[in-house]
Amino acid sequence: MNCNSHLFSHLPYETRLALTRRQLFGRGGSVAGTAALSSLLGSSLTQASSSQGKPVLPHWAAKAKNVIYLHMVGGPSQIDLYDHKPKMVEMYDKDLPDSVRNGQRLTGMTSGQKRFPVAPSKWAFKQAGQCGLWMNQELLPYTAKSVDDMAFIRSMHTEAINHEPAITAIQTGSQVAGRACLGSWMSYGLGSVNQNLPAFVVLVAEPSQGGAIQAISGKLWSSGFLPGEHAGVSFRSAGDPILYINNPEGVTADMRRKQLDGIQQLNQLALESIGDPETHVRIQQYEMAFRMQASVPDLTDISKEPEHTFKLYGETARKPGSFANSALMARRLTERGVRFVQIYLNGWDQHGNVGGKLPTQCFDIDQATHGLIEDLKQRGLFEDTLIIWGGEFGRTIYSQGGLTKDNYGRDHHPRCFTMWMAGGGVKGGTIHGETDDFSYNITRDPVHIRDLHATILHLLGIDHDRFTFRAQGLDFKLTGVDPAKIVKAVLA
Amino acid sequence: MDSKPRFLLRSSSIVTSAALICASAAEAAAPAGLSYNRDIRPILSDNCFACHGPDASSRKGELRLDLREQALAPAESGARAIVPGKISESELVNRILTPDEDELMPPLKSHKKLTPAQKELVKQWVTEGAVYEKHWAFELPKRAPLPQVKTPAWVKNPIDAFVLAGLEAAGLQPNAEADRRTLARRLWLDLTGLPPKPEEVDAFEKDSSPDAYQKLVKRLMDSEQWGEHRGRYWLDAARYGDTHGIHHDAYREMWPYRDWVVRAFNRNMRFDAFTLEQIAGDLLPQPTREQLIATGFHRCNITTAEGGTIAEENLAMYANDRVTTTSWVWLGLTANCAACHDHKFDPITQKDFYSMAAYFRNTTQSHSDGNVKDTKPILYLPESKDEKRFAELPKLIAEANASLAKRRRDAAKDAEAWASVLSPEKFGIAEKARLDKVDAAKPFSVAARVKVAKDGVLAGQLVVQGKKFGLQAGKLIAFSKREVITPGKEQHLMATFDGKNGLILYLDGKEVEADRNGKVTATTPLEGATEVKLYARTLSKADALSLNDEARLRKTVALAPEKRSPKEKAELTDFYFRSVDEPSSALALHLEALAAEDNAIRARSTVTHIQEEKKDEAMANVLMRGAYDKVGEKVTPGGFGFLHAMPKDAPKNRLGLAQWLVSPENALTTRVTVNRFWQELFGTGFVRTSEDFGAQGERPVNQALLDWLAVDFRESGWDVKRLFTLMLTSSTYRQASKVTPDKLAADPQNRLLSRGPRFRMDAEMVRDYALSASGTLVTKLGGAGTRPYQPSNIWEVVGLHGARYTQDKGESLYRRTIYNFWKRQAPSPNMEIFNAPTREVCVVRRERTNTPLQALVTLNDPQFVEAARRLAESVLKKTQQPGEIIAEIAARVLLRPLSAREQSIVQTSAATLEQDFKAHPERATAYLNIGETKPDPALPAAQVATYSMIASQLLNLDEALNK
Repeated sequence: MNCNSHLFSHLPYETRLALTRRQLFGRGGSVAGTAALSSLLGSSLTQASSSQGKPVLPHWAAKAKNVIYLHMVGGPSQIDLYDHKPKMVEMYDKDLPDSVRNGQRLTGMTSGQKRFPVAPSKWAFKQAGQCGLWMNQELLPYTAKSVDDMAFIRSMHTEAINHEPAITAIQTGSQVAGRACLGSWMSYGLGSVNQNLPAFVVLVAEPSQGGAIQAISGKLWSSGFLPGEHAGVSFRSAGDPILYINNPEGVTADMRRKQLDGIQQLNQLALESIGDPETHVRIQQYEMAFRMQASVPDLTDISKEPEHTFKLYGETARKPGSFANSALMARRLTERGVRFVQIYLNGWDQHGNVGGKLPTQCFDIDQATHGLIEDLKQRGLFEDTLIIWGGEFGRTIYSQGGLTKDNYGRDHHPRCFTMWMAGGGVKGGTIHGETDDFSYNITRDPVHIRDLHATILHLLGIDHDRFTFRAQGLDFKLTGVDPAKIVKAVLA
Repeated sequence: MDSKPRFLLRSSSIVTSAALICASAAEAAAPAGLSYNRDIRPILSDNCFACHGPDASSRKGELRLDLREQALAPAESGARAIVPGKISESELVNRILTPDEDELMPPLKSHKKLTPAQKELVKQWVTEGAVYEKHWAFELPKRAPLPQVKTPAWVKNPIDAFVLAGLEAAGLQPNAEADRRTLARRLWLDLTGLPPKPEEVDAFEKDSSPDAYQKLVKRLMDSEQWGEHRGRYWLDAARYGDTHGIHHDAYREMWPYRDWVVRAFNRNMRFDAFTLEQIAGDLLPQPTREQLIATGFHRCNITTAEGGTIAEENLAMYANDRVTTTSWVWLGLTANCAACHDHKFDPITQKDFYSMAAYFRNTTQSHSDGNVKDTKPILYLPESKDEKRFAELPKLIAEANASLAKRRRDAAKDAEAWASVLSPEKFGIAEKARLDKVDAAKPFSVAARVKVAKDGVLAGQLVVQGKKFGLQAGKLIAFSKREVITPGKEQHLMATFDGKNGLILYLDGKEVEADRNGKVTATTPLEGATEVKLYARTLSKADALSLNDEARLRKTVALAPEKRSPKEKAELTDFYFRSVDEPSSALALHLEALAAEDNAIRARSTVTHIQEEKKDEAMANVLMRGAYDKVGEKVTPGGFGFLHAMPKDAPKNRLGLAQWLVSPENALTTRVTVNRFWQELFGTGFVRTSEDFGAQGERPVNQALLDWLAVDFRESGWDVKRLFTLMLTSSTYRQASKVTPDKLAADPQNRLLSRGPRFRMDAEMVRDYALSASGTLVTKLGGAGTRPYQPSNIWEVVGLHGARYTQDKGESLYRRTIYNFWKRQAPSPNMEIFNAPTREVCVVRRERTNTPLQALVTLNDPQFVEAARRLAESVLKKTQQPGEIIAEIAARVLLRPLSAREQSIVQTSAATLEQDFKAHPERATAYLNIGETKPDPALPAAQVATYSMIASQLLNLDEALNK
């Protein structure tokens, strides 16, 4: 192994290991770091050791090895998609009973409203699949074909009522910024299984309708208190797919290699004369950078995808930055051993004009989501890949602003919302949890976001209670200090 | 094979044992045996205190182990956790040793486990009498006598005595002094953040005077770059940024605070004054402008204006941030843990947290930043040409107000007389010379009362279009910015022009914001207009009010004087003085002109965010679990109860807090500060966890030295330059950084300082280094944030509603990185990749990673590509001989000659690259055209391109990236 370089070879094995671990976890490492770690240490050691006494991972055999998380930024309306409330038709324009709202907190955007008139969904629901899920097939006809692969949780809830804290909460387990997000935890815990790409990649898709969006920033995929190499690496749809990945104009890969050869030889001399182990890591990281440069063009070049790929995902998959394109990229990344792909799609924050906006949003995701599932199946990746879909909260049954039969607005609603999971370890066709007639309060099997996190970790082979990281003198867990329970009903 | 490394890593990592060796060496005077602080507290804190510690709410079995008295007291059952000297009677010992899994402590489900070695230590401790010690950091630091060392010749100052004692105890020898060139580079980087020029290194190498080194330290410390470099570290702690941070993340103008920090270091401000002014400069007697700017420290926290957020929640968040930051930066305590419950490891209660929050809750700052650049309270900093006038305007305005008041008193009888003979027909503001047509060259005013049904034009071109109104006369044009017309409602419109400045529009007597462009499209006369008036003069704001009131007051006028109510009489008097009495009218106009001038200066001034106290007495409520809407007990301001008392007569506001922070009774502030400064030079502090000196923080390596420096720092008058001089002139600092296998084994992280500091430079230094070495750095000080090269779609993808990054041109591309515009949700990626923080929250130590993405930045970022090219061009103007070119590039980048072997490696790269560029001239052209500066056409392209690649090669060396 490389770490047996002559400089360290006289040291006892444990010392070498501790040194290398320190470089990689404590001080060194890389953004795509566990990949570099693999190249230095081999992946078995990656999983077995920790500078902090991290337990051996996985705790048990993982059901899923990869995750593709489709985050619908803004909070999609559960009432108009998956949480069927037929009785609401009679309640049209009647006030939401006080007994339902029960004095709960509203956002500043509707707390001043004089009335809270019920807005039933304008769309007719039909049952889909063997599981018979009542859903909006008018807007999600393709998704309807996949419901038997999905486990729906209609009883998700969170405390946060505004976007920024709510997205932070569902990504990191805490409303306060600074904790580590799901992807970083996974990168930290399970390391990388490829040599050229980061373990955790983020794609920010653009909604086709534009309009009001919520801020999506790097802090959502920062590693928080975890070592920096576990931060998500954002792949961009325009310009360099990874920042600075392309050589300057006029410099070919071959010329870069020549320049790099000199750098490496000179660094090797420095290593020999100064003896700083960090120099050794730098030599490795420059090689890794070169390999990344070589592999990314192939990754992002979808011109060789067969025609049927675009039939599957839809023609918009050709358009960089679209959700369909991101979904296709997610498959290509997963195929290449990227463990965690996070896609953000903005545009679900529909305070008004649900009638106008929701169809476009659904069109953006519908075919590509179904396509992704089918594609993963065809390639034998579905069983190993956990797909998660959902927003940061739900929306209210009462209309924000004007209400007609065909159009209305909906405010943020943290007390219940719908998410689904599919793939590795998930029991397809599950419908879990129920809400009241107003899709306002949960009446059966509430699932807090920390329960969701515990369940996701469980599928990845990790006991959420034993998976901790010491920062500021505390052992932090993704699921926080309150007890979290695994949602057994959705497990295969 | 799993268990072996795990055991080693857990039980006795090299780091820990090194720390123990050093600590024991440093505390050589202390008797041998166990130390509670060193050996036992970490075990109890890690494993027991969460349930048996300071936090009452989570305490199990009513047992508290962090206080001896309580640990020794019998429980209800009669059992005692600790019976000093008697292991078998000590429940604590029994429970950690028991084989019974139900009885075992820590419980299985906690996933915590004591190692056999830890169990032995606890046993031994109880046997020896279970002696507790106060946590080391809460005891006042003392100056220990300098330890005896075997090689006193190495000791240049007290630092060296302590360090050498530690090394000798570990069986290590310090490294020899680094060579002059290395030292020059190290000093330049540590004192200015920039590399030296080759000739400066040459001069230092040749300077044989005995105080050459000291002179250089002094000289560099006196340069302006010293303040920039020191200030940069502080700005991380202050979480300085140029945007608000949350949601829209809009621009916040507060760079004057950043520049204040640089100035403060440059004038070697005492650190206690530096503290007082930043925490409470506004509360000092007659605060100066500088002292007010300093209070920007606690206006750097992130704020929001997100619709739907709740005021009280935001205000609680802001205060929370300020307590957290204050606590990390000055006290080295993680007080943030006590926001929701009593701290689990340190004796900080939740009440303590909110007592400190009380200082910060008493602010005039609003819950929302409004997405504007100037969220009150702010300070205007006028341009120098305006300064004098801006300073005298308040007095002039006050005088004008006084004159107006005086006139009202003097002419009260006139007003009465006027009111007594009024008739409705004659009442109003006389038009005097009535206009027929407005002339855009002369003053005029137009007014009318309207009830709008549809668009139309009035006399004098007063026009209503849609829900806006305005006026056009020749080139003079103005429309109301907002839609202010309500169809069907009676509204009073007015436009006035003073003959020079733009039109001013009034609606119902009040000025409305005007757009100075637009187009009149309405052609038909406006219907439903009454009281149409045209004046051949400018009308005042007071007149606008009067005109708006005219119709209503006409009804009052119709009443006999004795039938008018006191309110009605007062209204008429106001009318008289606003618009009838000529001296008052003139004064009102004068006053308005002064106010307008004042406003205009404010509008073109720089602003900076400052602190301002509400008049109320400071207080806060404990927030249960930290939730804004779970309001608990009311608390008054105070420090943390378990630390020293408030100084006598300390005011109950932030000034009191600041005095408490720098009080001689404070055991923490000096230590925490010295530790952070040490970290800047040596990469790691004595306490690695710079933000946490509490029970869960790291124990200091060489506490005796830390304490000695802390005491010295205070006794020297908190003299920052003196402290740095001491550190920089020590033998410890001057060591070569060579790592031998022995040292790597015995002192892997250089915590014992067995060698000179060597670590990768911070993000800003990496960029500044390339700019400086290439000769492109612009060393201008201060000013608004700069926007250098940045890939597209960095701001755009995170930004709401059109956040656009517009790259600067010219010299702003090459300023020092401290001046980069810091957008918190999308910081410069080339900085973030090198671990620069986002500045959303306080950071007192950065991570330092070594990643492939960093390689991509320094190889491919146009900033670095252009710098390499400029470097090559400048060298090629000096020499054309390949060997000399390479030597010169090395001299500028590495500040040393290359060895023959190195020279040959570089020459090989150059030769092969030059072939490529010659064979493909288009490549050279493309490569040379990167960046805003144009390539020098006088130089051969293939050659410039080749040596640009070589400059880039050397700038990418580990040696160049490391200090």
